[in-house]
Amino acid sequence: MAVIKAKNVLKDYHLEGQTIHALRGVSLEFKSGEFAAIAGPSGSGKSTFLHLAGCLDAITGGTMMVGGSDVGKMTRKDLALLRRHNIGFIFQAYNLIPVLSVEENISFPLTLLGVDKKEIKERTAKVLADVGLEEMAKRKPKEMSGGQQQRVAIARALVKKPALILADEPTANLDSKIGREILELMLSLNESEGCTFIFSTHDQMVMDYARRLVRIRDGQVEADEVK
Amino acid sequence: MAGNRELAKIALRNLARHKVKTVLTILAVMVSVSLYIFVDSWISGMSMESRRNIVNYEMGAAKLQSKLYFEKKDEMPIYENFAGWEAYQKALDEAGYYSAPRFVFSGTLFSVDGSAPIVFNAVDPVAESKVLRYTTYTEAGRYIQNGAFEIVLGTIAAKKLKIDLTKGPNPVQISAVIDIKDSLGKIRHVYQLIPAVVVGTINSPNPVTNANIAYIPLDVLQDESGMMLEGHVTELLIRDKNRGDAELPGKRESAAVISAALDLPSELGIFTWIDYSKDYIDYEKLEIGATKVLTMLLFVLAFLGISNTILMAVLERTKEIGMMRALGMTDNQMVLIYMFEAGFLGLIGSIFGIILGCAINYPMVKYGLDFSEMREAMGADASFRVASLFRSTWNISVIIGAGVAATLLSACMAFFPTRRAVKMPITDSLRFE
Repeated sequence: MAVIKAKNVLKDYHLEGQTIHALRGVSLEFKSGEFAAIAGPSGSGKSTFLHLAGCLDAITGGTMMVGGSDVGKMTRKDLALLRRHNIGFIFQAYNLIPVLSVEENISFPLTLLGVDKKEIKERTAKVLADVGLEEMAKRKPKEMSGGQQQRVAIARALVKKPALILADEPTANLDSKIGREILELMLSLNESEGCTFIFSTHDQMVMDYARRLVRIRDGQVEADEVK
Repeated sequence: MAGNRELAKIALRNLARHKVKTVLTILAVMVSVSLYIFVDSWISGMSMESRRNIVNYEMGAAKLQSKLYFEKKDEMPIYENFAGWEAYQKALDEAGYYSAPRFVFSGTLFSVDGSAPIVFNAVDPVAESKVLRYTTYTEAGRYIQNGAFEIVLGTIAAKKLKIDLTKGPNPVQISAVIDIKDSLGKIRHVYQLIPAVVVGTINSPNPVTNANIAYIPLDVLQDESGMMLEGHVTELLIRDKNRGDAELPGKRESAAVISAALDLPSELGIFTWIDYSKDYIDYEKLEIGATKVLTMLLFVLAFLGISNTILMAVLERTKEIGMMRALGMTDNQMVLIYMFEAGFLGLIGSIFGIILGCAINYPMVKYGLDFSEMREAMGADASFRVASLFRSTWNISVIIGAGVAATLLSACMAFFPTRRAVKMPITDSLRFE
């Protein structure tokens, strides 16, 4: 089943009177359970595609189906609910809520979903154990290293068991050792939980780990290789 | 759906991000709320006390009077008087009201050492003391008695005329013009000089009774040695026998109810203390309005502070807002978080403001402030009828209302900055530096 189905997707930005064609007719399909990377140089359009797939931005043309829904035809509220229920995000800059503890950050998506307290506690404890941060549950993000914060971000994306996890350059701020650990973790979670991971990256290590590698250049798919 | 409790928890924790800014904003709300409570309590206290003092010391609950007199009351048209008041007094007595006849006229009072324009109230001392309470506030000497050309003066008038009651009798001369309306409606003026002796001075809680005012027995002014009144009066003051001094007149002292107890000719009417105190009530409204506007300005400043705090918070957390929206928070939930945050600032400020306001208010209610010297300098104007001790009063609905309003208004101040922030595309929010 296709988690994402992009057909001839266009995305234009308007900057200082100029139109920038970030995506020029991208057609891609990602199936459930994939562990894929979208690679390309800076400005190639890889992050743009990830943002459109995550319903963080609106397409200029074409169609983008996420979880079977045409996101181009959805309201702001429906898009928020789609993100809430089906999509987990991992950002390059972690983007944790600084005033919440590690476990509160992780449980936040479940709170948004209205999961009952007991289940929130159990599921949070499980993902905390999965990412190896049981001892740090009560810490605040600022009291942790970059690698630890990225683990929290992964746990936060995973905790609601979304159909799709989108990771925008997840290793960019980490050294290679920590980056490898994070990738190992995501791979094992992909295998154990069966959720789809799609990365945007220009990190060779991420490309090596990916089971499918899509190369984008100048807003167009250059190559799509399943390993 | 995320419970509002969860959003409130985040909002509450956000307050701890910039403690100094939070404390300063809370302080601004606190000062505004406390000042509002204090000023409102003070004005309410002054208003209540003034209204009581008008009724208890100045004019009773209502006056029976010629309608023509009432129309021209500012000119003091003494020719619009009436006779036969004794029958009305009897009827009022039977209906449960005290009443006191008065003939009010203006003139000049000459003492050995000076002169002053005075409003003279010719009264029945016995009836007067049943309707009004100033009679017990003789600062020096005693109150007037029937059958003698005696005068009690307001303390301010006594000072002007250099009346010293410790140094024997104080002879004075009343110079007044008697306006008499003849059968053709023409008004004749008769100048009259009446000798009298000052026997006391009045210093009651109502400054009007202490100003350029004199009380003289009505009975001695009836013939040609007085004001040639021949049984006429300008008014009959009325008071319910059963109403306590702390209460304001109720329905029983309304014009309709009092009139029903009397068989009045068309030229006479009942005019209540409210009809008579229009100037004061207008002044009170103006004073309250002006003071509240000033206090509101403080509120506005406090809310601008809150607006600024939230605006800065929204700007600083633009990236975080983008992230939370990416996680699936709706625009309304985002707005609600910041409204909670601003609401908490307002709530905490309000709680401290109420505590501070009540703390300042407590001595003002219990002991009051003595402004007697200032009041003396002001004389008897149309302002608050409080002679010396200005007291506040507890106004629970305003105290709670100020807190609730400050909290809700604070919350509302977050609406527009947050609403604007959530309109930004999520990707722009996430890239925001």
